[in-house]
Amino acid sequence: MKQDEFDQKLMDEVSQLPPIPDFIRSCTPWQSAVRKILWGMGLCTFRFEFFYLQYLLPLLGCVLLYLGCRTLGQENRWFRLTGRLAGLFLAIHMVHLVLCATPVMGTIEQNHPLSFGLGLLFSLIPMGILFCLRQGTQGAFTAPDGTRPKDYLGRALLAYAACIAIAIWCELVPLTAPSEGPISFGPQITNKFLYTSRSIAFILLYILVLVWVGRQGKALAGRGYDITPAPVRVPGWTLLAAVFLFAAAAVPTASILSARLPMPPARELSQVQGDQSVRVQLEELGMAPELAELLDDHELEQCRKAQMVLPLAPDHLYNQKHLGSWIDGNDVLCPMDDGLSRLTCWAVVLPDRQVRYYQFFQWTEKPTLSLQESFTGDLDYHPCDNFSGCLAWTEEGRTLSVPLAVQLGGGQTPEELPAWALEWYDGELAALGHLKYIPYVTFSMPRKGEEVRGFLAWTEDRSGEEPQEKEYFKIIPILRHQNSWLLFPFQPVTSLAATQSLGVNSPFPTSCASFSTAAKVPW
Amino acid sequence: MSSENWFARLNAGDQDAMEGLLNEYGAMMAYVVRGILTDPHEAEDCLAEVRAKLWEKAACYDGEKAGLSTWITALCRNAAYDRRRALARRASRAGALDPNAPDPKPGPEEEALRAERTAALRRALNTLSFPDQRLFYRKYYYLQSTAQMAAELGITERAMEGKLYRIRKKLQKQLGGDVL
Repeated sequence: MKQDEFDQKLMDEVSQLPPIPDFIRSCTPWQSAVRKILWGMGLCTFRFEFFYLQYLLPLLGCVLLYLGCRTLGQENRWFRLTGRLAGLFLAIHMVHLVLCATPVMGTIEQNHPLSFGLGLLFSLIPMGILFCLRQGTQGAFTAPDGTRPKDYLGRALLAYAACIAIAIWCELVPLTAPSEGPISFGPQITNKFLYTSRSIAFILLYILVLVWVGRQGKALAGRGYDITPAPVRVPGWTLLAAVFLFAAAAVPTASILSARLPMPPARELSQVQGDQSVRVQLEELGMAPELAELLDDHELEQCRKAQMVLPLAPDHLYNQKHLGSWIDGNDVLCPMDDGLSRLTCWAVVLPDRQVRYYQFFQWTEKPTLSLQESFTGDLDYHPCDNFSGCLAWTEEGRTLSVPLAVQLGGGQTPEELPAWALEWYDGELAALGHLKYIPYVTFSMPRKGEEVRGFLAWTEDRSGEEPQEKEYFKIIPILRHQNSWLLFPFQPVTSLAATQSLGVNSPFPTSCASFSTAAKVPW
Repeated sequence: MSSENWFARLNAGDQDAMEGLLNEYGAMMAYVVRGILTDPHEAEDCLAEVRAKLWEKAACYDGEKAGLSTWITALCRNAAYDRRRALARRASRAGALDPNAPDPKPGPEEEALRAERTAALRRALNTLSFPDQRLFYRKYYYLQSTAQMAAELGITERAMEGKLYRIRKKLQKQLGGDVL
């Protein structure tokens, strides 16, 4: 039997087998479009902040919103505009998702006008969609005698506008203030009633938006057959799969590409080595050759009048429980990721009660991942200056090095500190007039480099203090290493670099130990 | 308004009742008829015929047997399908009536065979998944075009053709080759 004949037979015979009651009611393209729009709006707004659902569900919501609006697109120009806005919303969400895997998003969030503008964009596009949907619905379902359908979408639009008004009001009139006291768990509520009621009002209004969109769908269910659905070029499932495949490919790529920090061009170590006599002198005083060989002209000049070189001994290990670090002589060895790091420190005693500290690190076993690294120095309460840093490695038999730009955290003056902090940091403020500086360098290890090592150095001025029989020297080097190639959302190592955080449960395991020594010095 | 009320008012000759009924179900009626009759004039004629039938058959409606929308849908579908068949017959005979042609009404034997075929088709349909059954009814009961089904379900025509092909093959297999 030919296909046409078989089809004809089926058509004839199936007349005796009518479908389930109300089968045709479930076929209306309007209802299916509204259902998708409803789910889309819900998923885009109500967020679950765990398992990355805050990123995945809005993306799914945007796809559903687009699919729902796309179906209606052929009916009139307002519905067409709804579809285009939904497409734009989806595109913005995809770009936002990718940017979240890069430092760009952090930059935007720190810039208040940009961050506010982005938030406004995310709020106004759904409002535009609602407006166009309402206009399209009124246009498509107005009876020939001019009778307009019930305007539930108009009410939804008003409720949404009220949501935005609350959001803008909250932005302009903060209901929170920074908490007081050394131990704080977030901002303080300045007006408890308003603080709580704004969230409740927002949730209720948004539920109303969804209820009214749903009611509009139901109110027009019987007339929804008038809608001619737009022909489909890309099936819904294909679009959904394409969007999520894009996210799955773009996010890790962006994460890996943006995690490596830009590094200045490297030079061969022999080109930066200056006066060998100072180096020899430092080595004779006790400086390890592995550090002495890294000192360039500038560093050697700083140490020209060195009186003593004191190796500092590790006296306390932080993070030992989590990382399993151990002491080996004057070194602290710490496994991080699949590598092994080594920390060691020296104090070079200079005339006029000056001390130049060198905290040195080396990856004795280089980890596979070389993305964001940082090396921080936690200083004592003495004035410090002349900060410098250096990264060196061996590549194809040559030793290369780059100077690292030292950044300073801390340093807040009493005027910049809240009242509780004045008491909390009284020692530092009395000694320095401000909070102590926390110097740090950030870098990425060269991919081909072996024996990666480097130092952070500064000069401490003790001229304002009474001489002691034995001078006490202490520093705490902190080495951080990114141990995951997928850091989503992106977290810059600088967010921890200027802190004493041990990075437990963070993507930056931290090797940290206290080094000290006490010695008679010729001052 | 309940279906009983509609029909009580229709039987009482209330014009507003018919207007209200058409306001409520007119779009659905047009949707069913236009799926089966692609010629807009034929579809409009058929809809006029259905509206007349609604007046005539209002007294026959039994709310316990079927819901109002189901009853109206069946009325539309059968009217449109009959018209489509009549159009096809007219086209094949090119307007000439054969006086020796057999009576088109089925005899008792044909009725019995048809009942058997219907039972076989019911069994075959039960083997289909629910979404496939829905596609089947759209295609073979409401005679919707592949393009319309594809657009309404958000897939491409090509994908819809593939789905219908698989359904047809499955039914052919269930019904024993090409015999129906």
